[in-house]
Amino acid sequence: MVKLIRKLTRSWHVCLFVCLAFMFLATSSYGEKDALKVGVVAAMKSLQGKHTWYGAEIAVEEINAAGGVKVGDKSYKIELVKAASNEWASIADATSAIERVITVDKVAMVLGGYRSEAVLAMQDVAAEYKTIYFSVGAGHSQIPARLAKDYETYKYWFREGQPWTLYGAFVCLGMVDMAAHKYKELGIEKPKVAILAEKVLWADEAMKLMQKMVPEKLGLEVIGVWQPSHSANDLRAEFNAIKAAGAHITIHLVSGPVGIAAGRQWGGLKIPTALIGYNGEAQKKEYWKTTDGNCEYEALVDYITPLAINERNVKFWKKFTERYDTYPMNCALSYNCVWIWKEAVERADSLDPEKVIPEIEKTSFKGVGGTWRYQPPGAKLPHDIVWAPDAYTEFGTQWRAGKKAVIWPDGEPLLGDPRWKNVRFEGTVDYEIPPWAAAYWKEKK
Amino acid sequence: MLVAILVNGLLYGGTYALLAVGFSLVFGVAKIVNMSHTGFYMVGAYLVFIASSMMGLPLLLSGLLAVIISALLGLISYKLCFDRIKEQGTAVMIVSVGLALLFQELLLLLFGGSYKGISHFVPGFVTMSGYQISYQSLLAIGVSAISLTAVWLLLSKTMLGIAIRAVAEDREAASLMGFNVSRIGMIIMGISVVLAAVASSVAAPVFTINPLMWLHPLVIVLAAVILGGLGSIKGSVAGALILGFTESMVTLLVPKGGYLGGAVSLSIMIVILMIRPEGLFGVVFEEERL
Repeated sequence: MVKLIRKLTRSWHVCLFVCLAFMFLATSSYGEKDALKVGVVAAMKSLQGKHTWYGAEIAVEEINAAGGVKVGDKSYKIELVKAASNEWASIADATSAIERVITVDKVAMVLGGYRSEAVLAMQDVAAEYKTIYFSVGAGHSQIPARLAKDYETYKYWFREGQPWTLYGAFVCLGMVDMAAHKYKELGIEKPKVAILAEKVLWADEAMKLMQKMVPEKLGLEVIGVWQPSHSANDLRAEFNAIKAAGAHITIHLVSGPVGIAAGRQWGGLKIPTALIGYNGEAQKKEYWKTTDGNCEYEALVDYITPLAINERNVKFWKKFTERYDTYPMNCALSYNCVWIWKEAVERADSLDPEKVIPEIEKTSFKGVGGTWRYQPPGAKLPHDIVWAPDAYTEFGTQWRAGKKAVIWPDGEPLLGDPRWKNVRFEGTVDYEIPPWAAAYWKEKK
Repeated sequence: MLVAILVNGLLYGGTYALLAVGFSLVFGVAKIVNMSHTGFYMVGAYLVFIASSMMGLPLLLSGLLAVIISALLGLISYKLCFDRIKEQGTAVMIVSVGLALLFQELLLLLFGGSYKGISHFVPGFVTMSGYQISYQSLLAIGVSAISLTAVWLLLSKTMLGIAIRAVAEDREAASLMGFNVSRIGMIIMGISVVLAAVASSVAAPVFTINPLMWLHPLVIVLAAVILGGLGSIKGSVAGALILGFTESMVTLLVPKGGYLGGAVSLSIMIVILMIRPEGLFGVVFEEERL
C-alpha cells in the first residue's frame, strides 16, 4: 500500500512537472518574440468594438509588413491584445479590462472605449498606471477638460476622434442650415427644429448645446426635446409627436441601438421632418439593409469617407470595405492611433511614455479622414484633435439610394466662419430634403 | 394623441399579453417558473430573420416556420431540461435562466451583437387623426387579439382546455382522474412557446432584434403576471395591458421622459401590489383561476 502511494505520489510529481513544462512552453511560444503589445479594450460584440479592432488590425498589418517599430537598434513587431470592455452594460467591466491588459499583458499602449461614462473611468486607470491611452469615440468634453485641470495626472490620454459636442455640433448645424435653406426655397422662412436625444451622458450635453446653438447661430426655434432610452427599439410615438409638434427638421443624437429604430421608423412612416444629426449605427453599410432602405435622406455627422483627401485615406477605405464588407465608422480611426503612436515612439527612440507623449503632441499625421494634430498642453482641451479646414474636418453625409453621399464641407462659410469657404472635396453633392417632407409642408402652407 | 396612446398601448400590451399568458399557463399548469420564456420570443424573431432576410423566403412562410421550429424547440427544452426536475422549483428556475443565456450567447456567436431589422409583412402606413400607423402595427395588434381569443376558447370550450384547467387546479386529483399530467405539461409548454413565437413574428418587424431583446420583455412579463395575480390568465392580460398603456402614455405625454417608460410601469405595479398584494385577479386561497 505504502509502495502504491509512493508510486502514485511519484507519478503525480511527474504529471505536475509535465503540466508545468507544457504551460511554460505554451506561454513562452504564445507571444511573438520582440513584439510590442497594444491593448484594444472595447465592447467586442458591438459594432463599435468590432470597428475599433478592424482599424487597429489594418494598421498593425501595415506596420509589421514595413518592418515594425524601430527603437534604438531593434525593430519590434506589434501584437494586438484583445479585451472585452462590456462598457454598454458595466463601467466596472471596462475598468477591469483596461487594468488587465496593462498589468497582466503589459501592453505598451491601450486604445478603445466608446462610451463617455466608461472612458472617464478608463482614463483614471491609464493615468494610475502611466500608460498611453487613446479613446475611440467618447464625445463628452469632460474627458479632455480633466487634462486642462490636471495635465500631469491625465496627460497619458489622447482622443482618436473629435468630441461631438465641440466640433460635430458645428458640422450638424451646418447641415441644419442647408436644410433650412431648402425649406426657404419652399417658402418656409423659419423652419422649426425638434431634438431627439438618447438618454446618455454625451447626448445630454449635446442636446443642451443644440438647444442653445440652434436659436443663437441659426435663428431657428427649438420646439421640443424627446429623450428615449439609448436601447429603445421603438420610436414611432416620438416621431409622431414630433410631427404633431410641427417640426420641419429633427436633430437626432443617438449612438446606441436606438439609432436603427430612428432610420427604420422615420422613413418607414414617412414622418415629414428632415432627419439630421449623429447616428452611430447609420455610419455602417448594413444600415441600409437593416432599415429596409428607410434611411434614405437621413443626414449624419460622419468621420470616414471614400473621398480623395489623401492617399492613405483612399487606400484605407478600399482595404476596409473589401475586407470587412462594411463602411468604417468613427471607431475605425483606431487605425490612426496605432500609426501615430508608432511614429511618436520612433521619433522619441524610446518606449517610455514620458518621452513618447511630447512626440505625440507634435504629431502632424496625414491619416484616415484628414491631417491629425493634437491640441497642446495649456490649450482649453489638451490632447483633443485639432478641428480645422486644413486638419481634420469631419464630414456630413446623407443616405442616397443605398449609399452615403458626402454633403459637407460644401465650400460655403460655416455659420459665418470664412475659413470654410471653398473647402469642398471632389465628389461632394448638395443636401436634399426628403421629398415626402417637402410635399407635406408645401401642401400645409 | 388619443389614437397614438391607443395604438401604442395595444401594440405593447398585446405583445406583452401574449408573452404573459404563455408564462402564466406554464406556471399554472406545469408549476414551472420559466425564465427562458422570452428567450423563445427572441429565438422566434431570429428565426423569422434567418428565413426571410438570409434565406429569402416569403415573410408569411418565415413567420409560420418560426412558430413551428420554436414550438419544437420548446418541446425539446421541456423534455430535456424541465421534465425531470420539474418538482424542484428553484432548480427549474435556474435551469431556465441558463437556457435563456444559452440562447443569448448562441445568437451572439452566430449573429454578433449588432441589431437587425426584419421587413414588414405588410408595408406602408395609414394616417388616423394625424397619427401615422404602420400596417404592421395593426397586424400585430390584430394577431395578438386573435391569439388571445383562441387561447381563451381553447381553455374554456375544449376537452383539452378542461384537462389543462383540471391539472392547474389540482395536479394530484387530475392524475387520479386519469389525466396524463406530464403530457399536459408538455402540451402547455408547446402552446406557451407558440404564443411567444407568434408575438415575436408579428412584433419584431416593428421593432429591431438583438441577442439581448429577451431581457426587457422578461421584466415586463414577470411584472404583468404578478400584477394580474400569479397564475391568473385574465390577470396576466390585464397586467400586460396596464403596463403596455403606461409605457405608451409616458412616451407620448412626457417627451423628455421617454426613457422612463419601463420604470414608471414597474412603479405602478408596486403601487397596485401595495394596495392589493395578491394582484388584480389573484386569490389568497387556491380557487378557479381562469
